[in-house]
Amino acid sequence: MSAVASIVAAADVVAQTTVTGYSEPAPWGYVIAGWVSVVAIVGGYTGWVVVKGRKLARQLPPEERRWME
Amino acid sequence: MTTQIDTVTDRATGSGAKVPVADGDLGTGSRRTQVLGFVCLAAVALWGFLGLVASPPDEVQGEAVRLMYVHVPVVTVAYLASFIGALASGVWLWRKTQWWDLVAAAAVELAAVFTAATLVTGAIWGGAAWGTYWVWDARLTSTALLFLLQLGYLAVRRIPATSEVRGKRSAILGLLLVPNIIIVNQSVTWWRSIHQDATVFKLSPPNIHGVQYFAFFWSLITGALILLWLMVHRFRVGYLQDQVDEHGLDLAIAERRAEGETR
Repeated sequence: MSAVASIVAAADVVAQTTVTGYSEPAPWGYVIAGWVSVVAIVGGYTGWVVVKGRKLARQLPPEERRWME
Repeated sequence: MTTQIDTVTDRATGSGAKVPVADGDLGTGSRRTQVLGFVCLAAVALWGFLGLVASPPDEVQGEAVRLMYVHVPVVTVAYLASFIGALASGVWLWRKTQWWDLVAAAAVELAAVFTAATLVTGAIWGGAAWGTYWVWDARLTSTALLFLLQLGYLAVRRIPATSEVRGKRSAILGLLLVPNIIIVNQSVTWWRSIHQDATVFKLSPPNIHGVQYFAFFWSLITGALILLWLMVHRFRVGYLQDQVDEHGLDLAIAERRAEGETR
């Protein structure tokens, strides 16, 4: 869990300095770390699915993609 | 405005010639999924606004309550995807069609992604609320086991085998997700747990109200929309992969036959 702790610590610094200016940074550090991690995981996976789909589609004639009809 | 043109190998005629294809036609998207994608983006924008700006801090948890708007929808999507994967696995054992095999594979892969996000956001929320990122609590441990089972399912699918054998192996593992989800969901009532009980989905009135309640439900709707969009695209990726594998095998057989005829 040291990786999670590092993410929270990094988000804490961001929260303290640039994003909120909130005087008690700890909760906002956790909040930012939580939201950013979900966006990174789901966004990264979404990007992988889109790129993989495009690569595979290039190897096949358009009629193989029935959803385009 | 210029249209980018790419090419694909013309396998339909067997000539191997390059055939022009409009770039916009490539990929797993269609008109309907594009519309759904825009709806998802709008829903995500509103979800961010409600969760990070509009929702007031909680009386007990303060600003840390904003983690609820990411953790709970991610968990819910993970459960839902696992359930779809298990259901599709069961139907595959009955019907044995490629469609159900691909639905199950797409659903379980999505479930693994969202379970990973569940574990990360749960650890972060634990750090904020409990002062520790991990404890060997019933809810946390059973969720980690669920994640391992999902990874096992994905690993089994990568073992070289015929589609029939691959389908049977993965469908049996897929069915095991159901009891695991029940254990994860009920772990906070069956065992003493540091994890809180249900906030909304319970018989007594919910513990949150007003904007918090709306933001919470909007986060669930957004999660469901994202799951739907990803399911469609991941299913199509799986379908394309099967087609590419099939074409590759056909081409290899044709080449070997051609080599044999020239000798």
